Amino acid sequence: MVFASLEFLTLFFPLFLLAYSLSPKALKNLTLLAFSWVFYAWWSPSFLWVLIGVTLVAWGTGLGLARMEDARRRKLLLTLSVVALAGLLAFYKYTNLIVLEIIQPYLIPQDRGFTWERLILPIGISFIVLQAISYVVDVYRGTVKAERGFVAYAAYKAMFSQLIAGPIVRYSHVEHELHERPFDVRHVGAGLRYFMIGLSMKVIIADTLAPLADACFALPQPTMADAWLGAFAYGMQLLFDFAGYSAMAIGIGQMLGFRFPENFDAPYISRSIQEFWRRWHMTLGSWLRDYVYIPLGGSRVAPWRIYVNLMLVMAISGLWHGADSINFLLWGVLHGLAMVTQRLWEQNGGPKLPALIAWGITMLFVFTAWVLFRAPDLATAWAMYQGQLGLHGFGLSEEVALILRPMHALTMLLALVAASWPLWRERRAMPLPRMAQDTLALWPLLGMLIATALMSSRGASPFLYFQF
Amino acid sequence: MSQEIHNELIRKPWQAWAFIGAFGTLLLGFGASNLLAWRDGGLEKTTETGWSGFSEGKPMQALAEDLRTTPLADWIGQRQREFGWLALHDTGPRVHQGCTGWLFLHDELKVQPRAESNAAIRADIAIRLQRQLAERGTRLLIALVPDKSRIEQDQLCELRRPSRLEPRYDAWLETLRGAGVPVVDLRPALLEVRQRAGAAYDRSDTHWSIEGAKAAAAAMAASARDLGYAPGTPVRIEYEASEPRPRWGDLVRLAGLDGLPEHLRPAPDQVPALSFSAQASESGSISADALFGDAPNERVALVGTSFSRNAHFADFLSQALATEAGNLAKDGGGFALSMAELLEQDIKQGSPTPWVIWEITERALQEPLQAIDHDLTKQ
Repeated sequence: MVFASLEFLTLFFPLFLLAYSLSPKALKNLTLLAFSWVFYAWWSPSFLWVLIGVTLVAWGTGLGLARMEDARRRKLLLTLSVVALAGLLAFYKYTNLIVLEIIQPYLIPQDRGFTWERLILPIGISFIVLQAISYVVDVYRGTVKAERGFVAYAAYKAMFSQLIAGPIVRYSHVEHELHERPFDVRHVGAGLRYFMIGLSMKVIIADTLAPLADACFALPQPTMADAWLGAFAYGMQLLFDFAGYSAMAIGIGQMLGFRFPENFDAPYISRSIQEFWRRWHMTLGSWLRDYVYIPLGGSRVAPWRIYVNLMLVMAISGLWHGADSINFLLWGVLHGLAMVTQRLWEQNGGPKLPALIAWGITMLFVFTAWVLFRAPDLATAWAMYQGQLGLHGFGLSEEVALILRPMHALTMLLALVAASWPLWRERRAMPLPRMAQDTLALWPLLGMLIATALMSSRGASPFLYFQF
Repeated sequence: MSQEIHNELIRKPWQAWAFIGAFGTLLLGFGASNLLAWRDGGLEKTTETGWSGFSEGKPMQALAEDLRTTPLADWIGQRQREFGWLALHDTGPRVHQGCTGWLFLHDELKVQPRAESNAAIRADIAIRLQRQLAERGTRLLIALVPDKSRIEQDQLCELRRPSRLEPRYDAWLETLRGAGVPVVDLRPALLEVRQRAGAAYDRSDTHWSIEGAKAAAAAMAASARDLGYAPGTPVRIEYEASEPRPRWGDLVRLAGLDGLPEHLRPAPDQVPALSFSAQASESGSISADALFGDAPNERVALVGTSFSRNAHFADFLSQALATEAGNLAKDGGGFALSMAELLEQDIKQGSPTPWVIWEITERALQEPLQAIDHDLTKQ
């Protein structure tokens, strides 16, 4: 189910809120769990077993680790659990690639008539598995206590507000709130406000720009204008789609008394690639830092090892997004190279660039790299890069000009302002009177109305990060 | 999006209540609308689907579709589209405005993925089908309906028709004629109407105007006669036309503007109402709406799309052929749907229809292929 859909807003969510508010405190987690499982099963009930299986493995491992004292046995149990969880993720993510790119072309004779039915990825599997791994590792490290109650743990694991596309909420973030959390007007009001902001980001900006990005990436020979417009539209679509989802997730969490970590912090105002990664998909960045980069030695090793570690972490980040094409891996490697370059520049005393130039270079890189991320295959990405260099002409193609509407231009302008909002806010000449501030804080109500109207008119569209 | 927004706690309780109140009102409204839709049988797809396909999530998909058509969702969606039109003259993603008041369907301007290959495969299907039908004793005549944006090019103004679409009409025509399949080129007849009457298509409709339909029908009938068609007992079909009245076509509806007050909508077409009557020249009168197969002549079946169901095209065709053609065309039938139904009907009845006129829209040629397209030659 999608947050930005009528079935969620007009059916699931009201029923959930009713049941949740009527549930006694002791049964709130059970209500949350039951509704979360329904939420997950909505698209494909058969995949619910994957979620339950991962939950059981992680919960059981946590209990086992809590009871064991022998260090070797604890390590063995942790290793088995991590291998099982990562193996499940690898199975769903990479089997298609291995079969279609290696086994079928090279290992099976052509005349065998071998056909492979593509494995369907259980929705949100990447997020579900990362969460589970972080939990067992944290219990092993002793940074969190193992959760003894299955319902509480399963409710955390399945919590519909963050189940499918993050933010990657670690158990430590909600450990206390799983047993004691407020549910009052103030939290519900504040959570609703944040939810409405996310809904507006997703529906008003991301969904409006989506057809434009799709059209540009569908061109066999995009012109320079098409290719840059496509990269820009997609970059904005992705930000507002994913950040919108995250805001809705955090808002729902807040309504229920949870405090989820932020996932985005105006990444398109970044002046370096490192800053970009401190602002973009922050929970994935911190997950990779804590569970991959630091175990690899982090920044406390020889410089060449730091560069290798950086490349490795970014390559893993790329692979985590998918393996249906090599593009994700290349995208990760590109970001790794950019980070290494930045480090080398700084360590070798490269001059500090003026803010505007640093921002320009960073954004040029980020938006150029999005082409690899969005293109379904290398050939499409290559055609877009050729287009960006003007090898297929310069003006807008007829296909793109046809679908470009005033609505798109207005939305792109809105996206630019919203993406750079912290800069505008800082420059506001004088503070508004209190009453005006309080009234302006209600703007998400207007956003919700517009978003609801657009949803009713267009229908729901899934979030981009659902595919990961 | 930033930490600050998340932590921006609502300072006053009335703010929290404002959010809760607004959200609650919206939920109550939608809840009531959903209940009404359920009571009035509006959740058709959900009811039809039942629990079948549960493991693949089919009932949930059906419910999602139904919820989008509940009265409140429909009302809100309509207002959104109207606002877009009034504020920006935006006609939504499915309709484009050319010169003022001239609306065009997006689908006929869209360059489809694998467009040329799809058209080539469809040409191959049509050629094989024509041969199969000929073996069964059915004569097939194909009529290719050009895009509105091809014939009414003068009304495109700033709207650009992609140049990749230019060759698709000629290319298909040549392929079929090269294989000996009779195809009617409707362009000369429609261009002549445009020149004479100002337009061969309605401004606010996807389809041809009454004049356009009449000319297209005459061109098809002439081709059928060239192929040897002759009515056994000619039927005289006549019509009377009322004074033209304003009529808003399907593109206004598709743009979601049909709920606006008339003066705020795009300009209407002026269309007379026609009433047809049929008389057999020798054997007495025949009702104008005689069912397919009732007429004593060699049966003529018309298959195709909404073009055959608009602007009295089928009546004009019957008039031009001097027989009552059975109209099996389907709205939204695309390339194959109504032809598939005719073939199935022929098989059931055990007697092939002697004459089949197959109206195909130009845009349907390049649309993504479907299983039903391939199935045409398997029946």
